[in-house]
Amino acid sequence: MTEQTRRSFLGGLLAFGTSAVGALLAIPLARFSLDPLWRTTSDVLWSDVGPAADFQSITAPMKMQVAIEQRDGWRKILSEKPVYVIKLNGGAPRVLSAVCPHLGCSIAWSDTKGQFVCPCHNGVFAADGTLLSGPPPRGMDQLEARIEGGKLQVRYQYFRQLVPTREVLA
Amino acid sequence: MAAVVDWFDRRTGIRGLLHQALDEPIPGGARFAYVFGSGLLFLFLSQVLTGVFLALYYVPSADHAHTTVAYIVKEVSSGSFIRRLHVYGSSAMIVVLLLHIGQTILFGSYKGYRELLWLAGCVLFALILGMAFTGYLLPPCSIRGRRTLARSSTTRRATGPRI
Repeated sequence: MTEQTRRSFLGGLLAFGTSAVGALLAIPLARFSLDPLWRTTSDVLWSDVGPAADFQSITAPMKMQVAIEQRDGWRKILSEKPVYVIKLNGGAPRVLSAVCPHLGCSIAWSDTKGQFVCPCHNGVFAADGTLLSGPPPRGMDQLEARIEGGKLQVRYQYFRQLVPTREVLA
Repeated sequence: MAAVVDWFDRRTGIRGLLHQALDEPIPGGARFAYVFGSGLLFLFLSQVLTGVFLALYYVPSADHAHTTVAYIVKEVSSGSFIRRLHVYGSSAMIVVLLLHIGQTILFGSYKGYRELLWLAGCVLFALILGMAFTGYLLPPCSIRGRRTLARSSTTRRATGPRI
């Protein structure tokens, strides 16, 4: 460091240039590898349940299958989930998730009893989804629904089980 | 700065290594014709680095290869930059490789006691061509599939009929 020759100057220039280029190229690599950290899972999309007219005059809950699409990174997952469409005297149709808030079994509608019954642990729900008896901590979960272009649509979501309040999971 | 380098040097001997690599005396003086070997090494390191990073997202299966490559290019931040770096880097390796061999032949640098060096170069040549060919097939799409088909039939014609 005592003597500054042309050679040492060029060496320093080389070292500086190399580290500068290396540091610049490290930025895209860091952004690339950290990408999943600031990527949020896609919003819950609206899925079609069926033509709204079909649900105008239902008297008992109607079981429907909705196709839902989830995106997880590059993967697109398509699946079908059962929901119940109910209609309380004169109101707009409401959509209930068929997943039991107790331990996640599929709730069935019993025409003879006029009640929802979960086959796993005998949770019983009224025709509007409120809890009547059994181990479930709350009534059946209502899903966000709307009527768009003459079609009933729903945002399918999962809710935390075994808690008395309705908490969205995904 | 010097203290840090001293500390590092005492534990790694980095000064000696750098001295050997950078201050090597070249008979007849340094020339631009001699850069291709180092250029190849640099390109190879770049290929390894970008390749490892691309492998973070790439899925090597017939079902998902195209989807994941499209995801890297369209969705992941800096993804298209890193993939382009890798793609152009692989072409650049072939170009620089041919320049390197041309320089070696034209300058007669294989002469003297360098037979083993030349043979090692032949092995590396085959390995690089193999990697360029197999890497080309990783993101499958119909055009590449057809080209690969054409290539393998060319190879078959060149090596004679199949028995």
